[in-house]
Amino acid sequence: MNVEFSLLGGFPRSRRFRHAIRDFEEGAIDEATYMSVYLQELGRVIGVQNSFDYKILIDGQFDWHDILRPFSSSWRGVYPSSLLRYFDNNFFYRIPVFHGKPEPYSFFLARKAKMLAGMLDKQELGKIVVPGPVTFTGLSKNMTGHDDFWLASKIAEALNIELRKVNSSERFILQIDEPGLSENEVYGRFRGELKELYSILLRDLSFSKIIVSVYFRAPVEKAYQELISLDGVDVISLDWVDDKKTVRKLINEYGVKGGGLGLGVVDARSIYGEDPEIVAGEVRKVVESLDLKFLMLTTSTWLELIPFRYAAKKAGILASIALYLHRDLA
Amino acid sequence: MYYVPDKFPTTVVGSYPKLGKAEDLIRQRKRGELGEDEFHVLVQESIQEVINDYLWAGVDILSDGEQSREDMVVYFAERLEGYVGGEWVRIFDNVYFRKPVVAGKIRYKSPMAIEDWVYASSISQGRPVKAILTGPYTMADWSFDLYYGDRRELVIELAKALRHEIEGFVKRGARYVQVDEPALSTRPFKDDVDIAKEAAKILFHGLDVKSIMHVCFGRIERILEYLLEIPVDQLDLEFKNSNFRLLPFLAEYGFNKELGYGVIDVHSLQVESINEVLSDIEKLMKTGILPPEKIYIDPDCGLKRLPREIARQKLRNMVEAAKKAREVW
Ligand SMILES: [Zn+2]
Repeated sequence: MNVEFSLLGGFPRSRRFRHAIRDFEEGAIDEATYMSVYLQELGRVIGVQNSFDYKILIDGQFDWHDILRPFSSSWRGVYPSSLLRYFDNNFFYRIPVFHGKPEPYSFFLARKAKMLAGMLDKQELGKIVVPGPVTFTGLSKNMTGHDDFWLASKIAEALNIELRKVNSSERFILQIDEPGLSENEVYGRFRGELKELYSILLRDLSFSKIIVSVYFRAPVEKAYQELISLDGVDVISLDWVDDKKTVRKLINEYGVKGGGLGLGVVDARSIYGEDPEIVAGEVRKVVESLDLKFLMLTTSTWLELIPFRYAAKKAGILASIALYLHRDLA
Repeated sequence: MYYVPDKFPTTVVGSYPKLGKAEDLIRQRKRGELGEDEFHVLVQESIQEVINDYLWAGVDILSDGEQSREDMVVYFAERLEGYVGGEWVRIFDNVYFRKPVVAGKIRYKSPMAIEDWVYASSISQGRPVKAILTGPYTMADWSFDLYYGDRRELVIELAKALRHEIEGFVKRGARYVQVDEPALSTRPFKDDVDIAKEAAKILFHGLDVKSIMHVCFGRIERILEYLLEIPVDQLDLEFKNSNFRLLPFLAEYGFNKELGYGVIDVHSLQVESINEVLSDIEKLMKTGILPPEKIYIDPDCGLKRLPREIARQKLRNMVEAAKKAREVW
């Protein structure tokens, strides 16, 4: 079994970047100055991952105010509005209000991917993380006059356009975040429709691997069943930290997708430092009985909700867990 | 002595926009330029302004406007033993708060919010002032825990500490004590409400006081059934912002406590008209679940994020609507 590991997404902002973003938003520094700070910070986030020998690297998305914002503030047909609690976190996102068909035109994702690619060694892969169409629609306000499925399919289309602009996509893994699939209220509106939405989202993409990630809680049972039968998706990644019982039940009952499994094994929302050996032991028990080709270990969710130095510590813990499991399972 | 109306008494959830020098004083205290005692004396000017607005609006049961609290969790964390100051964690956009860290055994040290309450009560022209503190479940949920490693244990220990503060309030004559538990609606599961229930027993057991729990914004309908088992006299809930979605569930679960009925949207700059509030009261009365004596009219949540002018006009219209409601029901 191949054991891979990567951070799920989102790295917290350093103090320096907090100030840069504030100054830039207030017009006190120009874009060139802001971008030079951004690139230095990107180097720092990459540096943390390099120091623990990560082979799949994220850019940390530390300039994103929330997972939806870069899209809701750069696409036509949508704007970010008032704040709403982001799942069960003491963190708030701005509700995207859709008033028409979403249309990307500045292709920020491709630019970000290029900057990340510039930092990668030959044997390393980058990871691009985007919100999935179900979660995106579920967290938005639909004022388009069309139904939610229409909107979700247009969001999938817009995401697809963004993703197709990414150059050398074979150097990247694509991760699609669908925490909304853990909530009946969100999933229920798209029940039975994942196949169609994902066929739009994934059309003509050539990423080296495609992962769908559900976190904060375990996916709704029916949603998991739909997920593991999706075409074009290589791995489903689940939040092991939050609900071990349900995750175990889902994989035992319905199996895994394509011989691979993603597990969020390090608590990204707590600053408590796990003992890697103990966690590795627990994970081993679960995966031993499965006939897995590969295991993708991650943090349970984005690391943006804990302070910077703890995020770095958690990155180290994840790498250690992966080492233990690699030794035992390879 | 002020007589709180029997029917539809009006109240507030707690926080009010920071007035006068409150923000500056909080900063100075944090920098160590002001001692705790001096801080509470200087902040009285802001509390006075808040009370003036409440009296102008005609609210029956007041609060101190939480003028001393920069954040509902940080304020208490800074004053309990066992907590250490946290590091910056983002809360939205580029806005952060220092998320407190539990690093040792939680212990009560000395009164935390009582001074402000005593002052507010002294200038409220006889109107009762509600004593308000952040509940143990929310304190635990919005902190990092490096000591207990068990959510339930931390909540219970916090409840034991906060009990001392509530006893202090009661000794000083508080008749209404409210604990705020907004985090309860974020994890709408029975196990979590059970922890809050156990904590509420510790907080209020044997005290002769009107006990209130405030919960807002989230899937309250999913926990309402369990909330009803919490040993408090009153549940104060948000209705307006969620378009009264919760109403049918009150009947379904046989709501039998007093109800704090949130009729003012604290996220909207639009001032609700008197008739709008009256018709929202009518929505509740039509369900026939509760008599007017068990219904407290108030905003959905704290008013702190609203501009002062809008906050006070909203309260005024709310009070006028309650007066009209008393004529009808
Ligand atoms: Zn509230």
